[in-house]
Amino acid sequence: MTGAPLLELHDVSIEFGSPGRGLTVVESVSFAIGAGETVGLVGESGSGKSVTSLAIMRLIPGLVGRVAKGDILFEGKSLLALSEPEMVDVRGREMAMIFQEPMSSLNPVMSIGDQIAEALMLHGWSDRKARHARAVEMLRLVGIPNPEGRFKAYPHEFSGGMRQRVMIAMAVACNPQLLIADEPTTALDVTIQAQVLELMKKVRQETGTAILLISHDLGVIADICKRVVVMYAGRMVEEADIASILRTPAHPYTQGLLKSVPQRGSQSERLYQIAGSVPMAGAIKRGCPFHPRCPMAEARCSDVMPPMFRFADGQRAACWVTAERAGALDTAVVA
Amino acid sequence: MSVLLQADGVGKTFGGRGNFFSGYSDEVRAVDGVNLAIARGETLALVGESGCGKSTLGRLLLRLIEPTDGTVTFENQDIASLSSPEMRSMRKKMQIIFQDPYGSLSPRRTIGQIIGEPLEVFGVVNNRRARRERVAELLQKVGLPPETMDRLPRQFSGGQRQRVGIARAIALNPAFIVADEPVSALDVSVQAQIINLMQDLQRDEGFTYLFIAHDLAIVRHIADRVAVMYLGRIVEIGPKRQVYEAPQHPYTQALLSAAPEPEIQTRSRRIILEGDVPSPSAVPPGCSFHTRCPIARDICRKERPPLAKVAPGQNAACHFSAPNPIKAGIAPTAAKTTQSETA
Amino acid sequence: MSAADSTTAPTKADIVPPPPPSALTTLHLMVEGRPATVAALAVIALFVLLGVFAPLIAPHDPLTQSVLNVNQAPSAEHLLGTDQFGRDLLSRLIHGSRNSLIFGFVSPFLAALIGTTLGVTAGFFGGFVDRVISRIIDLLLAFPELLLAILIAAALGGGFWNVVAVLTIAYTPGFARVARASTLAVKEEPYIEAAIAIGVRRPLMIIRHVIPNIAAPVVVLMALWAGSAIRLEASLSFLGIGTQPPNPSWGNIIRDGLNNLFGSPWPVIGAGFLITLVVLSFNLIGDALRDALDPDTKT
Repeated sequence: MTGAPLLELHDVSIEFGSPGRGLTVVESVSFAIGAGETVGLVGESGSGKSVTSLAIMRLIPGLVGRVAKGDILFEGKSLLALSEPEMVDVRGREMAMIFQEPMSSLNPVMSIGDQIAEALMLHGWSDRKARHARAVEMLRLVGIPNPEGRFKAYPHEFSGGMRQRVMIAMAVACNPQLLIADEPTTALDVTIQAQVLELMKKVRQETGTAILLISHDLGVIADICKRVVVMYAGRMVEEADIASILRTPAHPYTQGLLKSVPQRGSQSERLYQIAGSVPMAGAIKRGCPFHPRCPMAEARCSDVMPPMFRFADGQRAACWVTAERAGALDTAVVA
Repeated sequence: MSVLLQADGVGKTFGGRGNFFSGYSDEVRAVDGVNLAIARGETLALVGESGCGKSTLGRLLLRLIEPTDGTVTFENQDIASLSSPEMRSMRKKMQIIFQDPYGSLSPRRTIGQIIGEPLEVFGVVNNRRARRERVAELLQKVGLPPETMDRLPRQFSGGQRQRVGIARAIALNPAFIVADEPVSALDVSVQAQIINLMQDLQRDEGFTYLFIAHDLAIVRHIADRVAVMYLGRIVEIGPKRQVYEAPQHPYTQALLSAAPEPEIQTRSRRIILEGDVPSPSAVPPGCSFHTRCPIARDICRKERPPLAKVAPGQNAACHFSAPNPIKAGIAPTAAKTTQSETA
Repeated sequence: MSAADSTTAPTKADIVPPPPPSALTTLHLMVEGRPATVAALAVIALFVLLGVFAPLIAPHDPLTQSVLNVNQAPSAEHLLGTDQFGRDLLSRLIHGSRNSLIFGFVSPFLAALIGTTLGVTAGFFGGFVDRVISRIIDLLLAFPELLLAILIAAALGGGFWNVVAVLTIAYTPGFARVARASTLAVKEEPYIEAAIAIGVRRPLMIIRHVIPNIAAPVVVLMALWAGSAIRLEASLSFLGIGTQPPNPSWGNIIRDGLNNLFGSPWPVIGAGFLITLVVLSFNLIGDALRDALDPDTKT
């Protein structure tokens, strides 16, 4: 990565419940996204991936939870230090978010064109005509047929895939530097998912926005992301470029996850299975969160959380066992 | 190979009967003229996108929904003609595993009561103690500790609940099980457990599965044969290997190429279908896929292609599939593809 | 290798065991962090005790008149004073709580029983049955409950069981509507389809899979309407068609007291206060029950 990263998470922990006595649902997560880069955040339910994205947008209500430790930097400035009005300005203009369920994120009684125009107005587009033109341009960009005509259409007049396109149009209307997409295709059918993923690639190419794609589906991530962060039960367990993750996963969880998905051309009778159930975030308080389900677990795994070891090619993973076998370096020691 | 279940021209139309109170309502042709034979001991996968009628078809085969036309023959009996008590006793032989591991278990009944209910209802095991023993056995079979039988569903994770649902379905040792998206609500790392369990049970007990799914990777793993549905009709059916490696219907081809898989650059060409699936209340005339089909011609808009044999055991409903008389001049595989730049 | 061996049995640690729901846990959920609910429960418990043991607790006979002690202010002998016939007000209020509470409990309970039966039948079977029951419910709901009560009381006359019948009829449609709506929702649940798939017959299905899952809103409604029934009984007694004099009920105590409101305000103040207190308590309990029984708010 060249130059300062666009977004940096430094040792971020997120706590839910009352301060100091709450549940730590995300612990010590650090990663960075460069300008124009596409990073995937993969994890199952309770992994803390969505909470992390909400924390970046500062969308976790203060009464519910908060960043208890660490810092989130956007273009080198701490987002946590911003006042709410300053943050409002960052949201939408600098970074935007799209969600899994486009219907619940759209106002049902306002036309989609007006909603995009409103977002533009909030971020300093004072000329009404320019707003309208920009909204139409965005609708065209995301492939809404007849964008001028559909400007006045309401969300219920669109199918799920089309609504997600509208959401993307709204999100990129102000030219944000970072687009956070939380399971944007999970509610969609396979052929529609392919359309939306294709659209996201196109949007990235034409606008140069960086994308943080959150998904439980490694296939979706592999389709558009260069780099992947793997989370499990509130912890970051691995980070690497997509090829390394797919070819040489370093964490036993990533390995298991890949092996448990049936592979093209594989003829094996049985699927590899990870034992046990997915724990709630913060449920496992000591040691590596994966140790109760890990086939390689040793005594120390249930005792001490491993640091993010540095493997070859910039791959990082938090595992005592695989790091020792690979002769990986302790990043904490190196840094 | 004997046929366990056969569907002939099975169809279902929902709604359409407007009255004074409910007003006008659209007719929805959810399933349309499906012919299907399932052999004893095989796993037939039924794939398609939401709204294609795959779940409805699964329920029609079990007569959980009454078909509006066609017949379903199970063990050489037309199940539509059975009286209500006869149908009830037929249910011993045909079961269903549900998609939603949360909603499909009654929240106020214990695991033991849930699994024991079919035994009790059919008077298979009348004695309470014997029933508990049988439930313990079933729990063990699905990989749950028998001590948990007095707990409530909410004390279990999604994967464990799905095991309970499976135990209930196999309690009466049925011949035929419809599995309606049994893993799509589960975490990825838990899906393999349930798939393996279902396969182990099939091997040990000889179940026949109709496996309804939208996840093509899992289907490729578990199925013997695959049927692809689009807008209420089967557009292609055949042995798994043939359907995956040499799909004949353009929709199957698009579906297979659209599925994202955790692989590196193995697929450079991807077929991106345009537009949305039309509403089942307004199925396009002719071939219902023509509105999105990259190789559609005039004939597709006018004539509906029959599900015809394209290879041994493989049928497809496309005017331009292999041995069909009409040649398009372009092979379906050379259809309009989008170069998918690798990330 | 058998299926059991080859699949990983989850360890016990996998299973997070929150306690199964029982009356006790529900009670715990109701009172946890809600002092007002605790107070409300205490108030109702107190009045139940007062009602049950009224003859033992009341310092005087509530019916004994005394011309010498008419309209007295509170004194050591008569803690809350006496009414226009010289009857001890405290004793009348204590005995009155008996009548009021019986109405508060009995009518909503009977209404819940009948209404739930009707509502579940309508919701579960649908079609013609549903249309007939729903129209009757709509018809009954079209009348204000007090007006309906007055009409029925006018037709049947006063008296304990008539008043119970009046209140029951007034509340039945509400229960029926709630039960029908809940049944319609429950009927769509996958576990109902699961029950059909394993061959459960309809009567068993209703008893086992429908009623337990619609019980929560019905119970909540019962608590809320217990308060309302006490209020309605008071209104009827106030109008002279509820509890018949000389038997005391909070409603007719107020009625009698109104005749001499400025001379001796104690009956009106006392009975009015008790009605407010008990109705408020029932409402608080109803709210707490609703929250405790709602699976969505449970952690």
